[in-house]
Parts: sequence; C-alpha cells; structure tokens
Amino acid sequence: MTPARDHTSRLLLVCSLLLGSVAGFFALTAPPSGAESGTGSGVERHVTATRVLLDATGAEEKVSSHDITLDVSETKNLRGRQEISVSWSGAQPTGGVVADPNSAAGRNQEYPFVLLQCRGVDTTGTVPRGQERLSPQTCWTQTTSERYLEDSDNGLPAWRSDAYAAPDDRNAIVGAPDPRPASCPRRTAPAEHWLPFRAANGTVYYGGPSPALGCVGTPPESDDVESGGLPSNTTYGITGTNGRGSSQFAVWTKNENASLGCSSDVACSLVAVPIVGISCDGFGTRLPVERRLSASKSAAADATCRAPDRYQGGQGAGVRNPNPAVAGSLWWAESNWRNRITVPLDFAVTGDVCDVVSTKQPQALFGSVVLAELTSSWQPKFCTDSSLFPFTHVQAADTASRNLLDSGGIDAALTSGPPVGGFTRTVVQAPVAVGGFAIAYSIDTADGERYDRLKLNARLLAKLLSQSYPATPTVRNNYAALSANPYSLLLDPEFVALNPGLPTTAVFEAATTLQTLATDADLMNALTRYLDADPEARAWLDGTPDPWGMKVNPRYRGIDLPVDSWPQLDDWPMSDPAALAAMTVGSNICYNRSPAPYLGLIANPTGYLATIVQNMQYAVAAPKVKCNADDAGDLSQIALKQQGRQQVGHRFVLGLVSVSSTYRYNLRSAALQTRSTVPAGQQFTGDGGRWFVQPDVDGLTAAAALLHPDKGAQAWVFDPSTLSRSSGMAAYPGLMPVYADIPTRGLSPEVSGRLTTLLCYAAGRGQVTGTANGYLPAGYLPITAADGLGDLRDYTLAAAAAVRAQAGDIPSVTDVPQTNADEVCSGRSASPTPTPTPTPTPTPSATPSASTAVPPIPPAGVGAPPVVPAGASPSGSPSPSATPRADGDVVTSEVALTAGEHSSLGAAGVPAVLLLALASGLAGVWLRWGEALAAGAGSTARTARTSVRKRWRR
Amino acid sequence: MSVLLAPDEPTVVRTGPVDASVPPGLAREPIRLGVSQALLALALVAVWLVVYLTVLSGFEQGHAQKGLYDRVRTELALGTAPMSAGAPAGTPIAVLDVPALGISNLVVVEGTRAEQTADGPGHLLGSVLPGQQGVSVLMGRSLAFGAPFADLPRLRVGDRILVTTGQGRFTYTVNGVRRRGDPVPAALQAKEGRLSLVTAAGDGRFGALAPGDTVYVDAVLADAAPAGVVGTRDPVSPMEVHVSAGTLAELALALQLLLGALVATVWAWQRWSHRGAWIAGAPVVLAAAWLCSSLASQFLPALV
Repeated sequence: MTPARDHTSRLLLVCSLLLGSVAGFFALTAPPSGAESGTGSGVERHVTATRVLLDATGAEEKVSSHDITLDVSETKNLRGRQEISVSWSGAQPTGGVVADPNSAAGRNQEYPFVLLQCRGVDTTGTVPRGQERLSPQTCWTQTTSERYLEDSDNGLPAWRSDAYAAPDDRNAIVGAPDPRPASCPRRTAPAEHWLPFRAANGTVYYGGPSPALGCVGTPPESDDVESGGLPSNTTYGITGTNGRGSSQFAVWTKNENASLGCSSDVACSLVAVPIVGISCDGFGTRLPVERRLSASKSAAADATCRAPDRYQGGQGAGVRNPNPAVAGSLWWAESNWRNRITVPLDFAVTGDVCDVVSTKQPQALFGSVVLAELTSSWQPKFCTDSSLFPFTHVQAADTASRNLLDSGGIDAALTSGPPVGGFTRTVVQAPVAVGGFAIAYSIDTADGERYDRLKLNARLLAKLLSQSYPATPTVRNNYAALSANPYSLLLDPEFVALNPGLPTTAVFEAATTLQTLATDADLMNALTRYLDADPEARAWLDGTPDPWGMKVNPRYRGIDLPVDSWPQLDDWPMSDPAALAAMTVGSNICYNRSPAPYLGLIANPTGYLATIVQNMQYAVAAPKVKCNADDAGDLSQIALKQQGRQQVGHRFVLGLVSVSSTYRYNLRSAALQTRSTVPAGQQFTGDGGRWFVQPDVDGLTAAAALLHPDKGAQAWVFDPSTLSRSSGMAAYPGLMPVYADIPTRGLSPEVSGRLTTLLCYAAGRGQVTGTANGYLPAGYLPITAADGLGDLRDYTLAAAAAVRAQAGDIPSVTDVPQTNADEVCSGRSASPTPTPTPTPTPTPSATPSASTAVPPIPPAGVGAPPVVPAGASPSGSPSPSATPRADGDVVTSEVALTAGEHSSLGAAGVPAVLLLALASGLAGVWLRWGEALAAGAGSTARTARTSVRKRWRR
Repeated sequence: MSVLLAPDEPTVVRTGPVDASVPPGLAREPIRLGVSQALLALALVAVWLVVYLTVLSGFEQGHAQKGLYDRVRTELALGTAPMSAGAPAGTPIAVLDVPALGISNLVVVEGTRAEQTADGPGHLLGSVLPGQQGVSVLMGRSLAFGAPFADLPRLRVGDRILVTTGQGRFTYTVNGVRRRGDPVPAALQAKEGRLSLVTAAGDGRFGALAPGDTVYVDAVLADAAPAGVVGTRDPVSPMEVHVSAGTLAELALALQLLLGALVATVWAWQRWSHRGAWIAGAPVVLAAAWLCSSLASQFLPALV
C-alpha cells in the first residue's frame, strides 16, 4: 500500500477504536432505566444572598451576605396535596412574626423566607418543548395583595430603587393592564406595581387593587373569589434567630389548582426566595441618564430604601408597619428574586392517564377506603403496563361491597373481613395489603406551637364517640345526664394527665368529638373492636363512671360493639321541650330556624374519608353550629354552617383516617394505648403504667405478629384483646389487613385471569415499598416473610391459583398450601376473547361472492353436499371434502388430495441464473486472460519441473 | 526502470519503407477482448440479479413493511381496519405472528399478485379474512423480498399462529403441513375457522434456491368471528408468471434510464476524471439497476 493509504487506514483504525470505547463507556455507565424505589429523592441547594447599598456615585456597600442552604425532603413521585418538608439555614432572622406563615399576612414580615410553587422551567437558555419559562408571573399566590403594590405617599417606594431591576421595572406604573379597565380607580396611585398571574391555559389575570369590584380578575382558586379553594401553599417562612427555619409545603397538581396546572407533563418547581431586602440604588446610578429622577427625589427614594428595620429578629408582629424594603411582599423584586433557589418537582403520573392510554374496559374493585393511597399508586402502573390490566377502585362501604359480591353484582371486593355469617358464594379472601386506622389530629399547644405527641387511650376515644361532652354551658345546664361531665377533651382531667401543655379553652366544640365517616366502613369496625376489647373503655360504656366522675351519655350506655358505622343516638334537645326552649332562645338564629339534635350537629359525620383527611391537613372543624347573621341577605333563609378552618396557633381537630393517608399528607397521628397497669377507679396525673404505640413501622410490624388465622372467617384476624399481654403491648392497635374477596367459581376466564394477575402482583412486585407508581406507598406494611407475614403471601399465591382454576376451591388458612409463583403467575394477562362484531355492512365497491369457486362452509346439520371445485383448481386452497355430519351419523369421507401447483420458472430460475453467471464469468476470464494464465501456468510448470529434476539429480 | 544508453553508440537513422501493418494473429484481438468483456458483464448482471433477489429485495420489503405496520396499527386502534372484502389491493388488513419461526408483526396485505406479495404475505381474494369462520388463505414468498415464509415447512403440529385483525386477536393452532398429493384437512365444524399459509418450496439440498412447488400449512381456530363478505376470486394463480402491461412499460423506461446512466458514466470517465466518474456515476447506475431489478422481479411467480 502507498504511504498515504497506509496513513489513512491507520487513522481510521484509531478513530474507530476511540469511538468504540466511547460508546462502550456510555453503555456501561448508563443509569438503569425504569422506576426507582425513590426513598432518596431529597435535594440540598446553596446560594449566597447579598444586599448592597449604592450611593450617589454608584459605589457599592455590602450590608449583608448570607450563605443559605436549603433542604427539600422529597422531589420525586409527588402526588397532589402531598406535603414535603423544607428546611433552611443561614438566612436572616424574620421579624414581625405572624401566626400563620401561609396567610397573606405573612407578606408583611421582615425578612421572611418565601416558598412558592411555580410553573415552568427555570433556565436562561431554550425551554424544552411544551414547557414554559419560570418567572414571577407563573408563581402562585393566593391573594392579590401578594402581587399588587401601590404607594400613595411620594410615589418612590423601595422597589423603584432596586439596583438589579431592569430600567422598565423601575417606572412609576409597572405592568398595569392596557387599556386600564373602567372599574379601576380613575386616578392612578403615584406608583403601582402589577404582577399578573399567567394561568396554565394562557389566561392572564392582572389582579389589582379591588378585584371584587372588577379591577381586575383573579384566578378562580384565589381567595379573593367567594368560592375559594384550598388554603394557600405560598409560605412566608419564619426564620428563627439561629438562622434556621422549616416548613411543610403542600404541593399541588392540576387537580388541586388548575390555574397553576402542574402535572407529570407540565414542569413545576418549588422556588425558595430568601428575602434580603432591596439593594438600594435611589440615585439611579444604574439607570440611563434620561430616566434618573431629580436630586431631591433621588434623595427621598434613597432614604425610603435605606429605612431601618422596625422589628428585631424573632419579634412578633405588632401595630408597627414593617420596613417595606425588606418585607415579604417584595419577593418578586429582582434583588430578592435573583437569589432564588429553584428545585424542580417531579409529579407521579396519576390515574388520569388511564382514560387516554387504555382502551380496555377497566376492572372495578369495590370497597376499602384504607387502600386509597395504594390504588392511586398502582392504577397508573396497571393501565400503562401491557402485562397488567386497567382497574378502578370504587371506594365504597365495605358492607355494601361484600353484599354486592355475594349477590353476584360485582366480581371483586376489597374488605378487611368476611361478613357476619360468612359468604354464601365460594369466595377466597386473599391478603393484598396490610394497613390500618389512625387517629389524626392537628393541635396547637398553649404557646401556639404544633403539638405532636398526642396520646389517647380507648376510654377517651369512647368519650369522644359517645357524645358525652356537653361542649357549651347551655347544653350542660339543660342536659341532666351530662351535667357532671367536663365541657370538652381539653378540660377532661384524664386527657390533661396524658397530654399536658395544651390550652384549656372552655368552649371548643371541635374538641368534643372525633370526625368519622357516616357510612359503613371496616375502619369503624376495627376501632370499635379495639374499644370493646379495652376493659376501661368497655366498663365506661357500660355505665361505670371514670375516676373523676364522668359518665357515659345514657343513649350509648351498654352499646353493643363492634359496629360498622357509629350511630348518632342522642337526640337532645328534641324530646325535652324545656331544653329546646333554652336552646332556641339564644342568638343562634340559624339553629332557631331549624332545631336539630345539637350533639349530632357537633359530631357531623361525613360521607368521604378524603374530606376527613383534608380537614385534618388544614385544621377544618366539622361542627355545624356556625351562624353568620351578616352573611345572608334574607334572614329567613339563613342556615347553619361548618365552623371551618381554625386559626393557626389555636387548632384542635381529631379525625379517624387511614395510616397511609397520614403519611401522604403529613398528618400527625395519635399514639394509642395498648396496656394499662393502673388500677381501675384511681385518679392519675401522668401516663405512668400505661403503654402507647405510634402507627409507625415498628408498631405495625409488632401488630402483624399478632395476626392469627381464623378457620371460621377463612382469613387472618387481629384480636385487640391480645394487646394487653406483654407480648402485644408494643403492637399498634389499629392494624387492618385488607383482602381482595374474589369468587372461585363463576367468573369468566377474562375476569379471573385479570384478578389472578392482581393477586400475583400483590404477592410479588406490589409489596416493594417506594414512592413511584406501582410500588407500596408508605403506611402499609409489606407482606413479606421478613415482616413475619410469609403465610399471608403464600396464601395470596394459593388464592391466585384457586381464582385461575375457578373450581370452587378455597385454600385453608391454617394449612396454607405452597404454590409455585411462576406456575400460577406466568404470562397471565389472559388473552381476551375477541368480541364478535356484528357482520359489517358490505362496502359498495365489494361485489358479492356469487362467482366464487371456493364453496362456503355449510352450516352444521344441513345436509347439502359440498361443491367440489371442478377441474384443476388453480388455487391450492383446500376444499372441505367431508359431508357435514348430521346428528349421530358416521359418514365416511372421501379423502381428497391436495392438487398443488408448480412453477418451472421458480424451480429453475435462480439456479439457471447462477449457472449462467458462472459460465459466462469463466468464459470471459478465459478469453481475456487465458493466454496470460496459460503462459504463467506453463512457466511455473517449467520451473517446477526443473526444480523437481534438480532435486532428483541431487 | 531506467534504460541506460550506451554512451558510445551513435544513433543510426534508417531510411526506407517501414512495415507498420498489424502483426498476424492480432486482428482478432479486439473481438476477443470485446467478447470477453461482454461475457464478464453478463456474469456481473447475473450475479447482481441473484444478489438482488436474495438480499436487496429484502430491504425493499422491510421498508414497505414499516410503512404498512404504522398504517395498520393506526387503523386497528381506530377500528377502521377492513373487516370484509372490498379493500383495494395492497392495503394492510392484518398482523401476523408465528413465534415458532420468529415471525412477529408481519403485516398482511390484500391481494396475491407479485406486486402485493413483494410487500408482505398476501390475502387470497375469495377467501374469508383471518379470524373469521371459514377458510382463510394467506400466501407469502419464500425466496425473494424478505422471504417471510421461507421456513414455513418447519412448522410442527401444535405451533401457534397469532393473527390480529380489526375484529380482534385470534390464535390458530397448526394441525398439518402438506404438499401436492397429501390429503386435505378435515371439514370444519360450526364456528371454526381455518387458516392456510401457502408458499413455494423446493426439495433437496438446494431446495431453498429452487422453489418450484407449493406447500400448505393449515391451522385451525375454535371460536372464530362471523364471516364477512368474501371478495371475487382472482383469476391469476400465484404460481403463474403474470406481467401486466403497465409493468412492461415501466421496465422499458427503467432500462432506458439505466442505459443513459451507463453512457453518462462512461463519457464522464473518459472526458472528465476517473475518480469523479466513479463517485458521481456509481450511485446513479446502482439506483437505476435496482429499479430495473425491482420491476423485473415481477416476472417471478408471486410465491417465489
């Protein structure tokens, strides 16, 4: 080879080796794709925030510099209303502290640490297709006062002196709608700053000074609109004097806030803006010369910007106005905005995708509200995975679901136990999850701090449920049976002994009751079994007074437990005319208009567990005893309303929810008593001699060890009476296994195949904990041998085999058969039987097959002999040769033979061409180079001969 | 090598007539060279044809299958796939999977002429659509254009054939492979459907290159959908050599194109630069040759 070619080939070799190694490197280090179990999705970010003051010459003087660290607990697989934990350090302490950092009043604090949820991608480069650029205009605030600022004094507020703002943002009127609507004040304030909000659908809401009067519109979820939605998640976080602070931030998807519009497809972020104050450029040294103000105005602007702070760090808000240059209302100003920390939030795909992706009919599973978080995680996974199937979880009362299943109305139910008397159909109860009930609460201590060590024993729960607290003086004075009882839980010595440090407000209706479901639920069944098994609570419900003399409401004395839904038995004052008169004489005109059992109004059970969960998350009190006389125009139509959201710092709500919902929405849950060695009837002042267990993993695991198989129920049963033994005192009393009740006879193959897939998933992949879709969410105990629940898992697999077989078997719970998971579960997304479509109408262009030579298949039973195609049928398609069998006749068929076809071109073509190629090639070669070859051959032959001769001669 | 002239030898000039005639025997040189070049060209063309049939036509079929698959996917999802006869020839009607042979997502078109089987297996007009009650016949090639049915004789009784049409997904079970002289399968029961896969195959060690006889694979489906309207039989048999007039005209034009490309390349080779002619001419000649071969392959029977 020539040197040039040699060099080129070497170069190519080196390049190819290099590329190959690069490709190999990337292949080896590529991160594994697919869902991760996502426990470590927290992030930590840093920023250095500085504030400078510029003098008339433009010289900078740095007045503060903070190295801020932000920690966010979770950023992946987030779901709507989930609360993530945000904490920060190194920030400036907040002054003028308000009670509720989420309220709009928080903007008037000095140096708050603002947390906002914003839509968009925070980048200066190109934005990915389908996403927006993040800006203050896409950040959510609930009220217009957090976005619209005006200054009526001299028109030189601090934001006009912002050294880092663009010159256009330092004008007197910034961002006003053009043309200015007529409903806005005709004379504009000397300085106005409008920050419009851009909704996900593109609508721009300007907000403004008086949106209620038409100047100008606000998004529907805003507080300025009467309907109002969830309480705002915009947080003006409070930094303590040590520079640290923390907050729970509720993230929203488009289901909670459509104007913000975050979802798994729309990028959103948590933006933390540490307020350090406006960097002052009152003299306009960073503005172009023609825009600078006069000397006197500049001096005034500079003085306004350099104003001193009015509050010390940590000082509570008083009557003084804060220093506007460092207030939270300027979160959007470039001096503050440039120090922002943006943390992208990754939302999990929700079940909405199932309507788009899946065309198959979803399988309906009825029942158990305890599984709500589990099914919301599994549903998107099931409908997007082709080996699984789409399903919907219809959260219904467990009793109704069992009845429907027994009567054949539905194919599968999710419940926590069999019906009383058992199923009449052959139904197998396969464990799919182990969850539990929890008593969630939102309570503030006497100092206004959030309380998180609530302890409750069964007797206190019985008191709350049995409407035994009178709540108000009017009730206590007129209801003889409750006249010796304390007003509410907060004044009950038993509660105070277990939970010191809480305020002792006299009238607090929300502290007299537990928010529960009005419908049947196994949640209530499990709670009442716990109460029934506790000796103190049972004795109290049977009439024994507690050590301080409190007695049960006589309507509930001796109540037979357990029950599926708590009955509202008290009807006071309806049957007592004197009491009724006393109640209706008061100023509560709503009650006077339509009197009802008063304690029932306070209990006010609701139909949905989601309502109770939301009430706990936002401290919404349920008692329906509020009457706002000035609300309604027509007093004759006025009605009682729920008390609604309690003020931060003075909260007290309790509710019965599921353990998984406490984890998802970050609710506090009470520790329940398992064992007491305190003698009955003895007053106590502390929690000595009593054991309380939280619904954490340890408590649930210890309780799972107490599950025992019950032959009669054909399921595992949790017996609360075992809690008081030493082996059970570390167990959480609220454990509830949830079963999939599936009939093992009478299901169609498609449905039984799907349900087998569900059970196989629940026995395998479905018990891996994680936040991504398809994993087991927090709040459920994994059913694995490691947690002592190997028997339950084996039973689920045995149940899967029984469901597939549909032979009417129910595996034994005491003697669980070992089943091979692969055998039962392999490849079983049952191929659906093709739904036969009705014979389609022939298209106009098709000619009917009158002239076809292929005979139609004669229907069975008709004795018409088939038409044997005459002659050499060119088509090789076989014709049915046997006469169709009439009933019972044995017909000997003439066996016809396949005619077949032959093509000589096909048989001989390619070989002939190959031979032609060979022959002509050889001929051409010989003609062209024949002599040269012969000569060469001759010479080599001659030399070979001579060499042979030479060798021979030697 | 340099020739050194002896320095002392003077140059001698000869005057007188010089015999410049062609030496005897060399008059036939150009003829010999020409004939050999023609034979070599013929060999090249023949090799090209074989390579085209066995390899390059497979690329054409793969490309066509891709487009057909996207189309049939959409139609199946929207429910607009044809469910009875009447679809124009060449439209995709079903998707075929034969796990035992490694065939997956093979799109079946309507019609069994050579142009249609060049895109994939064809559905015989006059038989019901796959998945319906009755006999449905699919025909595919075994040598050229991807040879989707080349391994058909290897199927065993009990192997599954999956067909997806607008009416759903059907699983047939193979119950026999037969050739000429073998008995036809038993009659169908009510609601049964039979699928016959037909191709051409040869015997012996080089049977793959000489497919001359048809081979049939029968598969049965227990619960078939009700049959739709059946189309009119196509009078042309799939093993016949049938060329339409349109194809002949196109072939003539393509050959002219090939000729023009060759002439242009040769002219460029002589007048312009050798390398330039190769770079510019080779792809054009190759493309024209491909076009000619593609049109000429329609002379082959539809099952080869």
